[in-house]
Amino acid sequence: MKELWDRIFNSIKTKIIVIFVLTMFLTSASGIFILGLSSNIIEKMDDMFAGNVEIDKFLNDLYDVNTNLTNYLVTSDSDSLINYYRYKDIFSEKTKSMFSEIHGIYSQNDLIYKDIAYMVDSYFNEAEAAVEAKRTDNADNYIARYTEANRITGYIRTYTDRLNLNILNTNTTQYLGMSENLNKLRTANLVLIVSVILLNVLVISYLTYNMTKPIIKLAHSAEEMSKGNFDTDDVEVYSQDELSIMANAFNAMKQSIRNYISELHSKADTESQLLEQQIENLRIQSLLVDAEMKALQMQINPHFLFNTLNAGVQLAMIEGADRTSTFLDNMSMIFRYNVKSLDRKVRIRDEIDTIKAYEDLFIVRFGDIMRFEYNIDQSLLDIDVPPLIIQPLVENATIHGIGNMERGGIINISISKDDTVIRICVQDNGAGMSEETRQKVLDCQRFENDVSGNMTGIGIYNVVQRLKLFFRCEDVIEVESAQGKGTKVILKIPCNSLLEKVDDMKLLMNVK
Amino acid sequence: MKWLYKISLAALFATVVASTALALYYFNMVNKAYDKNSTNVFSGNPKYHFSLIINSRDDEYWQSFKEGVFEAGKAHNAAIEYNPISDPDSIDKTVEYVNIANKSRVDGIIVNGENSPEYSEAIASAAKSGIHIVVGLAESIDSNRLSYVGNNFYDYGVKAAKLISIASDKGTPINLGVILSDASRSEIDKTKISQSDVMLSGLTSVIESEKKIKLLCTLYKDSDLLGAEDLTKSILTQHPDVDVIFCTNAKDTVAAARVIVERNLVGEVVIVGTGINDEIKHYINKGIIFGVMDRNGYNAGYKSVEVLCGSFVDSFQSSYVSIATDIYTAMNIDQK
Repeated sequence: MKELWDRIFNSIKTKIIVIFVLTMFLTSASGIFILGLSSNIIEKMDDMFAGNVEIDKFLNDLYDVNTNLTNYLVTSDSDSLINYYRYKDIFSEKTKSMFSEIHGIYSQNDLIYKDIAYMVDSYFNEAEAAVEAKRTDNADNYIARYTEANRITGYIRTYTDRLNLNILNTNTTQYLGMSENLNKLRTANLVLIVSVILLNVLVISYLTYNMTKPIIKLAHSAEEMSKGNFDTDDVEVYSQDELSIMANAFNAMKQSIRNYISELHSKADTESQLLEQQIENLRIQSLLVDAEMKALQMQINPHFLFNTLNAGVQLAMIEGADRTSTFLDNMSMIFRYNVKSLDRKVRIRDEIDTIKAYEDLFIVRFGDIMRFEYNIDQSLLDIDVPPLIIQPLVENATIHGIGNMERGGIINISISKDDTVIRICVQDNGAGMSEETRQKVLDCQRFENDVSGNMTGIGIYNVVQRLKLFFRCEDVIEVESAQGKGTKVILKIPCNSLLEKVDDMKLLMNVK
Repeated sequence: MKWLYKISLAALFATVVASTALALYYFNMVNKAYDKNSTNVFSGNPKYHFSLIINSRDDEYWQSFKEGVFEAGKAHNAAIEYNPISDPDSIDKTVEYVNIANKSRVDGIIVNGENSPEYSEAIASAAKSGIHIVVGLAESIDSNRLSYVGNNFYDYGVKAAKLISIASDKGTPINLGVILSDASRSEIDKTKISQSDVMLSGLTSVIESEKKIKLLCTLYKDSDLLGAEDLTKSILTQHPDVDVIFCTNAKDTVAAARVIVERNLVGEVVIVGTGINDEIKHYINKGIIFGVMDRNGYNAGYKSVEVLCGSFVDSFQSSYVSIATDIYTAMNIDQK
């Protein structure tokens, strides 16, 4: 049964046909029902007066018979006699058929019908006797018989009148009884028609709404999709018909398009990231080139300078000028270190050795006006770092921090480590810097006089950028400073990614 | 929204079913109202066909008589053809119906007709045709009718006189006024004795023998509806010393009682009447009517049919079947 039901209602076409047939059946059934009742009542109405019509015909026939009998008895006209017999046969036949319909004595009217039938019989007895007497010219007899026959016709008329009156009374009573209920029947029929119409309207409206609702949902969803919105809710259809199939297909299509677009977005993101990566690489290369250009400016004929300085060292040794020899040797070492390529890696130890050479030169030049202090964790000296990251800071401290102070100053260089970071700290007790300047340093902005007077030609901006690229992290510098109290610059090297970053750097250098 | 639809659908469906059921119900009621068989009163195959020719419109006795006839008809499977006489003074219609019954070849006739040559002739003709006839009023002594079923009017007069003699507590003699419902008496052959005469004969026999009653007047009522009322007023006016007024049918009895109430003569004049209905019972309980003679019309009608049916089984039937007259006063009226 359920399968049959499902089969019927799993198709829109079947649904429409069922609705059509159902509403048609309801309307037709109510119409036929009301028509049947009306026809039956009309038949009854006709039947109510059929008796009166029949009695009227009966009396006319009786009149015809009696008229012809009278004519014969008065005029002895044979045609009248023939007509009398003809009408008598017809009348007798009609009377017989009329009263044979009475299948028993049930009411006063049945008794009257029976009486009339017997009176008709008595009438013909008298009439026949009158005709017979007329033929034998027995005037007294036929007159007496005719008078008796006429009297019987009077009796028949009396009873037919009474019968008509009884039938009329019965009809009136029946009509009054029927009329009251007919009005109620009419009201019930009216209610039936109206309720069937309303029921049809309701059924059709609801089922039409149910069928069009998913289509409207699909239309709205499709409209949203056409606007590029694929995040609408799925269209849900609870029926099992073609609309459900269409809705499921639509939902699947929407999901497929959404997935495809998502993939496109993902691909675009990847491409964007790759593009950013390429831009970053270009920037690194630019920085390296920039640093190298700065360095090359300082490498004007370096071999001539180194050979000359070596000749000077040997000359000073021959002449016994040991301090001069040491001075020139330090100078030569610093130049040699500075002119090497920036795309290599060095150890912290190398950076510190260079700083110490730089200190010796500085002492020769300026005496003990400036003092260098070292607080270095020896275990960290073999850590790889980009070259020339400490010397620019020391130069900045000597030039901008202490250089203008007549009383001189102290430059403290410390290297320490905590759980995550190696801290390379260059601190002076010089002039310090304003908060604005400090913020610019932290924001890695270039300074116009960043490298003025620097031996390396590399500013703090270059140092910071190279550290960020080398260690792939943003937080590589801290600056603490107050005017008149000195400046402390801390370079932060992340411990955990140290080796990895170095490897990356190697790769990066190979790219170049 | 769905629940509203479901409720509406259920309500409309219920309306369709209910209106269909109502339509069928009212259609059935129409059919019942139309049903011609609902007026059936006979079995369909009655053993006898009797014609009842009486005037039952104005008289309590004949109404009861008719009821008795129809009840007996049901009991004996006899179809009763009721031929009412609308004009009580017209003997012609009675004669016509007797003749029609004759030509219709009925099995029997129960008729109440006043004495007249045409009536007697019609009775004789029907009897000659083999139709058994029972009369409610005795016609000529030489009639061919089968039987008379009714009261012994002489005995009725005697019982009435005895009731009258105890009706008034004013002492003897009791002054009596009599109103007789016998309008055609003046038109009929004075040589023949009417039932009123027989009744009066019985009444006067007691008056003369016991000397307790003084008959002041005997008035005959016209056929108009106010006849008894006028006659009562006439008696009260012409005979202010009247103690008892005797009436011979129910209508006259009620009319006289109303006049007594109207004239504020309750306790002064009492009525002795004939017949019983609810109003008469009321007046008896109030003491306005002392008592009534019940002629037992129902028994007479019932017996008439029994006599006719019996005549087809046993050719010997008594030509005079007396129906007892009962007396009802305030003492026993509740038993009726």
